Amino acid sequence: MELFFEQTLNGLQAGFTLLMISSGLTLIFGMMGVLNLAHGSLFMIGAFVGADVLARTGSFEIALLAGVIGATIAGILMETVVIRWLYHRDHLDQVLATFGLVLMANQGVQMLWGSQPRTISRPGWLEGALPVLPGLQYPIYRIAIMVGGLLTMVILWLLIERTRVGMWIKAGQTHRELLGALGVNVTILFTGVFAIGAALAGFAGVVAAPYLTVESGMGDNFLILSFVVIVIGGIGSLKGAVAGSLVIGLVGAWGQTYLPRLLTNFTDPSAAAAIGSSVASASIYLVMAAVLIFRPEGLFGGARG
Amino acid sequence: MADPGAGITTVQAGEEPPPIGGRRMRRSFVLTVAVLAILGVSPLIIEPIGFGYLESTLTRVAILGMAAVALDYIVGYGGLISLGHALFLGAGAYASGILLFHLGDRAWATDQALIAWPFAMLVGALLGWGFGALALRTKSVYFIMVTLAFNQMMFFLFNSLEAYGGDDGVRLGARNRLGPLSLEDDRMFFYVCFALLVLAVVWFNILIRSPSGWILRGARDNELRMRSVGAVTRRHQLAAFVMSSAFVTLAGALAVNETQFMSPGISHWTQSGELLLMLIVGGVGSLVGGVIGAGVLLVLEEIAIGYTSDWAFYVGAALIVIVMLARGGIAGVILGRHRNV
Repeated sequence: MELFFEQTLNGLQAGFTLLMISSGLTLIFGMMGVLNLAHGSLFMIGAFVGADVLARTGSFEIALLAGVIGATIAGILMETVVIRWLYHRDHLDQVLATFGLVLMANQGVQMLWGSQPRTISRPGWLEGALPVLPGLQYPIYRIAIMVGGLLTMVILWLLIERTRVGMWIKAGQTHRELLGALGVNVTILFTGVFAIGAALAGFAGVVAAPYLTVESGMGDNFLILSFVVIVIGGIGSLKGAVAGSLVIGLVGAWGQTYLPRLLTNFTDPSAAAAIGSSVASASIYLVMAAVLIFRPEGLFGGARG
Repeated sequence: MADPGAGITTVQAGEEPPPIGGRRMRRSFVLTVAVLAILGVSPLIIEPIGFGYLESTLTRVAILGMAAVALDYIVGYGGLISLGHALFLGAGAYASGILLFHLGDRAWATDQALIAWPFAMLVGALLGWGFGALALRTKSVYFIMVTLAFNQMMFFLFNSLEAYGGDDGVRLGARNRLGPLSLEDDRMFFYVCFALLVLAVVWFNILIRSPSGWILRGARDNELRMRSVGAVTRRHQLAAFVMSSAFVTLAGALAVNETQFMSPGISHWTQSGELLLMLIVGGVGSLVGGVIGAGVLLVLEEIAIGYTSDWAFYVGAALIVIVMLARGGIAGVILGRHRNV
């Protein structure tokens, strides 16, 4: 039972990390209709800038701030130099140009920081574990990621649902020209939304880095998982991103633990461990396949196409 | 949301469509023959002009060129942008590689190319059928995401095959055997790959002129209209996806023979991106463009690697410029309005 709770918490934590990336991606995609393969690169850039600043200052908090700022600047550059010109192009152009950005970013961080992997360690005051249940100690840092993720999402939700800018963002998803005609500077609005998405990705990059290796291409898997989130949750809404992220996080965590155990009932332990780990990594994609079969428009999606 | 084929259409409003057959057909035929002829004689002439070290690169041009041609069939003619085709390269490598790896310790193992390569294509066709059927439940940009996700799933699957070296992969002792031909001889192996490439180019040129190919293109340009005239577009798109998968899997089987090294790297998602990159450089929707793109990119990379380790950075930058400025690729520049069908 403790194991189940622990895995559930791990799944939620992974889900919240993913949510910080996928919410930005879904916001950008929903509004501008651009499929940005380089969104994972912003996550990576955040982590690299964070690791660099941490090594210089020794302060996790400054590193986090620097990572967010670094990713935001990179995001604004990306939007103004490349992505802005892709809004009216077809998907093949968008995929290829943003793939070009991925190649540049993955090689660029190696040109700047060398090919040696780096690490980010947790801040001292978030070390240790808290008793969350009788007999279950859970790392404070993982709890902090969840709280941070939840807070970020609440702020994002308030921004979109309760402010004028949020109204513009929602209007921009469906009535771009009308919004412009009403006097809103859509170009700056788009850059702003892109910057918000980049900041979220950079934030996620730094806070997730203690559990990862900071290296070239580290954001790619998160990018692809974010696409799975979007396919599962449906496009454009934060609700879909939340549902998709948590489903992916939980299925991944539970699958990793229980599938190998389940398989020991059918085959010998070493084979079960080997098959189990590959089935577990495939489990999230099987969930995606199931969604495609039974609800191709996603759990919270409208008609797509 | 734009329809999947938006922008790939060659005929603009108010522009006279190029005549069917006649000049454009001849022009693309000449280009195809010329490109294949150049590739075919290249191994014989690179030695005297001091580029002998490019011989294995030319073999990779033939192999990845075949994959790019097969990808062009669904991207250029079907408007179905797959960002997951490297999974089929991996499937081909592992399907034929595993048969070869167990030679001597398992009864089902074989080193016969005539068994291993068709087997790999069968595996690829079955995978393509499964993944294609699922991915085709979505459209346009979702199709890209779903194919990319399946690519990643298979990549992790190959990584988890501890019996075959996990993420390190394993070295294979030899190449497949093909009747009396010695594939261990690099020159002979090149010509086997080249012959299969020619076959693939001819075969896909036949397919795009077949009724199914017409329906595929019709669905790319206006799916609703194709459905209205009674075509079951989904069925033809799936058939095209399966055919494309099978040939990319064959390319994967050849690739594992070329390197004699079986590792998950071949199915990394960036390899899928690079196949698309070859298409855009060579020219989407011309079939032979895939061969041109593979040739230009792989040969340039081989030469550039001697001067810079940051090749990928400049490729990325060049790709962005190409997308912004030169949509038709090299084949597009040569063919102009006289595109291949």
